[in-house]
Amino acid sequence: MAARERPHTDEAIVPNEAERHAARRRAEKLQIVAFFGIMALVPFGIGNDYYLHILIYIGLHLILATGLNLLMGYAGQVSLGHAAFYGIGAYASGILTATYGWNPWLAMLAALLLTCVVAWLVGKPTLRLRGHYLAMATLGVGIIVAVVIRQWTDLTGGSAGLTGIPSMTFFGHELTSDQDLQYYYFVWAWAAALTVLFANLVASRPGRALRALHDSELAAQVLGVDTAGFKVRAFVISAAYASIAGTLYAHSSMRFLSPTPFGFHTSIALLVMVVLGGQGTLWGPVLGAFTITLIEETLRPYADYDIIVYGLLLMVLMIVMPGGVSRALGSLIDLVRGWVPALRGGDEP
Amino acid sequence: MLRLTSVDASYGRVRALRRISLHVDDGEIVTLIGANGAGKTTTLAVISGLMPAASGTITFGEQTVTNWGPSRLVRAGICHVPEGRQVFGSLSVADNLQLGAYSTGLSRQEIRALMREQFERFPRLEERRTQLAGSLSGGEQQMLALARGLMSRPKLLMLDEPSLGLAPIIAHQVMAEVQKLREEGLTVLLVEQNARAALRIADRGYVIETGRIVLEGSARDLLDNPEVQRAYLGKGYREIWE
Repeated sequence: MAARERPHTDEAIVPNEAERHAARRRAEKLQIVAFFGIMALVPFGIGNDYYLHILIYIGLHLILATGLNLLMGYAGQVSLGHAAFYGIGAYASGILTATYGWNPWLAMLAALLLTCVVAWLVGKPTLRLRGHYLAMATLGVGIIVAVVIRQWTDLTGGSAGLTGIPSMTFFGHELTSDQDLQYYYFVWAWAAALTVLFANLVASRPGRALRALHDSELAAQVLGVDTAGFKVRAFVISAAYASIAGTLYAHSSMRFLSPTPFGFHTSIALLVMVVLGGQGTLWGPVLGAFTITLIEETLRPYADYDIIVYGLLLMVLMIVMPGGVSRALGSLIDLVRGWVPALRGGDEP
Repeated sequence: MLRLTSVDASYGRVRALRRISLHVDDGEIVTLIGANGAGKTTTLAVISGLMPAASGTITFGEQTVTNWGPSRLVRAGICHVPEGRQVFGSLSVADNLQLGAYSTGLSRQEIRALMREQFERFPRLEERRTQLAGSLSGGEQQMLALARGLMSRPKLLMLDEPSLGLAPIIAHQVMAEVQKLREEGLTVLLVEQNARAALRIADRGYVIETGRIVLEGSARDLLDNPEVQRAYLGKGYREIWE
């Protein structure tokens, strides 16, 4: 398949169009640099390990949500069990390093491969069918993985958890547990790299083909786009993002894995991050990751009531901002631009 | 140019096509008429590789193309413009056109030239080339779907219900455009519910009923055929009811 598609161009063809495309890409690059630049400075503004901890989680959620966004916002498919791939990444990394003493990077690679193989096996047959069979299949995978983690005690430690996971190393340097700041930068560097990869992927020729098949699968097929193949690839890539986030989680400061973070609740939370933030946009999942992680942390003291408040908040947000927070912010900016003449023009392409 | 010989196809256990045989010669407009669910769209889907043929053969030019994949058929010169326009609503007009050349492997310059050609043919599309396709009117979307199909430089153009849901005057323009394309040397297989409009511009026609070809002939003959008139042209109701 790949050999038959000669990639002859990445941008649009009409000169005017190519310029606009380039301008859009430049603006996007600038936004990415600005955002991650700010995130690099944030630790200097906070002296509290707890906040740093939350920011690490936000980084992980950002990676997960961005991967899922590729599947939902571009390939038009839903995964109801993305936490399973997160879990496979985490546990494969954890077990290989803690039990078998592998190098963390090697274990990360093995975890990534394993996740991709599982995703491919799930996606290959289900994505040939039209409709949301993938959602059903991933729901099943989510349940199976959760059960395996809980029940295969010899391997995973079961409910008691998996302990003794070593620290991540970085060019011989150990990212030790009492140094959250180092790990913060490590996670956010991954987040930045994977965001850039995502932006490039979406702007490329395959990215456009993905958007096309989201709009009309029939028309894309008729033009010779291998729609099933594209969907499988998008799904495998999104699972790979989850696997990387899982590995990063396994080596984070606690260096301990329990089944809880890889259950159905997380799959739904990820789904919500993407939809709430605005699927099909670069910044939507980022906003979603911040919003949901912060909401969950804020609601923690309310213990049993948090799920009720969580549900209510989601309902209100979806009613007020049906296109997602990022699109709502976009229209707000447009509105302000209309009021303030000095802001008009400028970066508008 | 195109020849189907006793082609069968089914959706699961439901047989949709039974021993369909038809041919389209170079430079012809051939129309396939029939009621909803008769198998018109399925016939096109089998030709363009969206659906496998259970048996029978399809030849295109000198080649046997039975059960080739869609992208290979596009490169061979078969273009299928599906029913309901199916433009890529969240992409610009220009991006839609570019995707039309997706499987062709043409160079940038060639694609640019082809796009120029489409803009000359449909000036409205040039005016709107940076707009999202979803914001176009129905007629403009049909023009875009047609232009997108032409971006693959087809030899055979297969149109599925191009006048569906369009105002009569716009539908008329679409049909005129199809005629113009034929004059430029394209071969056309036209599927239409609006049998009268289709038979007016076609050379020959086939009538399909429950997956079988029940009648074929020149467009003229079909227009005059009392059976066709009664079933598809809405003539003779008075005689029947009174």
